[in-house]
Amino acid sequence: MNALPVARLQFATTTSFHFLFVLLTLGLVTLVAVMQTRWTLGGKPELLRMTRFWGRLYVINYALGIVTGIVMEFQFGLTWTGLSAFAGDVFGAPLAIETLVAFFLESTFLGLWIFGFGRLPKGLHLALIWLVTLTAYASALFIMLANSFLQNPVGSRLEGGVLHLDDFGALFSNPALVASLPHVLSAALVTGGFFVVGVSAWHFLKRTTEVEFFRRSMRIGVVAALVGSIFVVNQGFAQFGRLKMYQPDKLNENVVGMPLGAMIGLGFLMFACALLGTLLLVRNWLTKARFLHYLMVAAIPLPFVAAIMGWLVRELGRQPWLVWGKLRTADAIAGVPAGQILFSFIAFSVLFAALAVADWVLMARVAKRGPDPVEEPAALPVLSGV
Amino acid sequence: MVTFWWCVLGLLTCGYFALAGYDYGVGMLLPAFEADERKRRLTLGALGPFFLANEVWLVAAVGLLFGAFPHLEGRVFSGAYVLVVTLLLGLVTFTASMQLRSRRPDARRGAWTAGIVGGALVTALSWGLFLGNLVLGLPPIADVLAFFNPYAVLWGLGFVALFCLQGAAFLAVRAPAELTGRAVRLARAFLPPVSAFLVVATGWGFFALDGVTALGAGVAALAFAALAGVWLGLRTRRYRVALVGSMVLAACPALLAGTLRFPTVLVSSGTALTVGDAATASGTFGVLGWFAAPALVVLLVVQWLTWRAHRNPVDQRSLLHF
Repeated sequence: MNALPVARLQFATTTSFHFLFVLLTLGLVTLVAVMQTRWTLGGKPELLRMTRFWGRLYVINYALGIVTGIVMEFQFGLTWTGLSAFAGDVFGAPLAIETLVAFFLESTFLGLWIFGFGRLPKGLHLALIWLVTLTAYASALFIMLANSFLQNPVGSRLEGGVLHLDDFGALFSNPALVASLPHVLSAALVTGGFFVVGVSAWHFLKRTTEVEFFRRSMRIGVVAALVGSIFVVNQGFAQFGRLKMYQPDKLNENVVGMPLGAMIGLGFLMFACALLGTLLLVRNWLTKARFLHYLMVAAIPLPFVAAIMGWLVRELGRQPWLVWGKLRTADAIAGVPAGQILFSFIAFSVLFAALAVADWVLMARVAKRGPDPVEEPAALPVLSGV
Repeated sequence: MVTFWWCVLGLLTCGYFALAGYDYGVGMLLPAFEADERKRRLTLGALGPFFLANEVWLVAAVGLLFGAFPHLEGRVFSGAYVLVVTLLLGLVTFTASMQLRSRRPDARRGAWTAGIVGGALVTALSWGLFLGNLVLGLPPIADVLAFFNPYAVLWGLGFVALFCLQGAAFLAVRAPAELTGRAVRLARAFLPPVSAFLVVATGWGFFALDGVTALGAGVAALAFAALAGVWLGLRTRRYRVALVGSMVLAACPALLAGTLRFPTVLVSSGTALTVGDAATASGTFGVLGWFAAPALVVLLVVQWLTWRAHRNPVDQRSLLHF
């Protein structure tokens, strides 16, 4: 048995799971931060309940983002040891910075935010959710920066068979990064927006009594989806020009045709939906249009599908290279027997699939239960928190 | 310069074991407490504010390992492939179960509780096996059974006892008054197995390991001192002393793995890797320094504030979350 396809499949599977969760994490935390900001600036008490409700869903989603991320991080040392041997001096730096600066602090701040609910001064508590948001975005920056280096190894020189870091700043102005980072971040915003709109629509379909709560949520979600989808389409096309500078033949490959077409189609569809939704905000037509609510619930998965397609275009299109033009994927794999990699591939896939399903079922149930009643249940202080 | 970064990596790794060790300990000890849901939440709630902050030390340590010592990272994880995979399976199960268990007040939680206990157990065993093999020198990768050699198995079992001791000491400090009696009894019960592990592993290692530096011997001495601290703390009912002792003790195996043959940092089936060969280029260290230094300062300050804010036992007013 050949270890290479198994190791690639393992990386692709674990990354896909990771991507599905971090995408919603990034989008949802932004919306939660906006809700909490509006509440802190003297908004209605509804906004605090929104912060709690959407924050709770965010925390459930975040849990799987962390655990899948840990496996990603270890995998470079488990199966792709040729990468650290060849490009570790360059590629290692952004990954290390991501974990130290971004992820480490993000989790610490999130812990403070969860356990600071109702305990910390309002302003400080608000600062915490923004710090969580900023460190999450910083995470995305450094991961995309590392990925862009693999797509287009700038800022380095080949010497003695390994890459050396020449100019760290060049990694930030990498043409593979400048359009793809805003593209991914706005995709996350679209994902968060569609999620909030879809869940709110479900409650309208169920004739919720929390009309004000879900009307406000839906408005924030629709606006986020519109802003996000404008940028996602715009920055998506902006990448075509840049792509010519570093991987001119990428989009002519056969493997990227289908995912590319699907992504572009979905992108325009989501933009159209968001635009329509925004227009219907006039006189609250949106919250009354029942037939549209079915579509909104059905549309929750669209951004996820589009994101996976986009990721396939980016990653499939550069094969057989791991570091473009410098290191072949086949030369980077560790000398681990194929049987062991097959074992880990099956084990990770089964575990992640089980956890992902459990996590989504949990989110669906918490989402369906809706926000806590206005008067806090005082009998069980033990069950408080986000 | 390389030695300095090796120490930073050591700080993060030891920090991880000192802190996350009691997470796994509390996880494994859950069945030792009554199954009553309120008490279970109080037990997990003792970990609450620390849990996320503890687990990420590992992520930071591995990130730094990749950034600063890329040539070691590639060899040490792939060199013990099966053990690292089981470690990750345990870690993922434990971390996810812990965070998802109590999200719905009205739901059943048996499966999540099992995930916490089982995940913590697999994590502890795998860490012991992994570090035991690392100290002994990694066997050839194709020989899976060789990773389960008697010395490493001793370490695996020893880690289970060690983390349980640490978890019990933690609960003695942080759990609500109604649970501390049981926690203290558990801590006392785990003291003899941990002592036995320490004595046997040290004695066996004295004959089985070669090329041990004075630093390595010093770490063994530190471990015995820490164990004495735990014993003294439990005896005099100063449970914070016992907790700190058990945390130092939990950091010792990783410290030993890093100093045992320094500057050689990895021995695997006959070949050796020194810290200089493992390190990245000096320019990359410079870049890392700019980001790592402020991040570490912020981190230590924020975590210190967290510890201070939650230094008292859990009570009726505590937010539990987990």
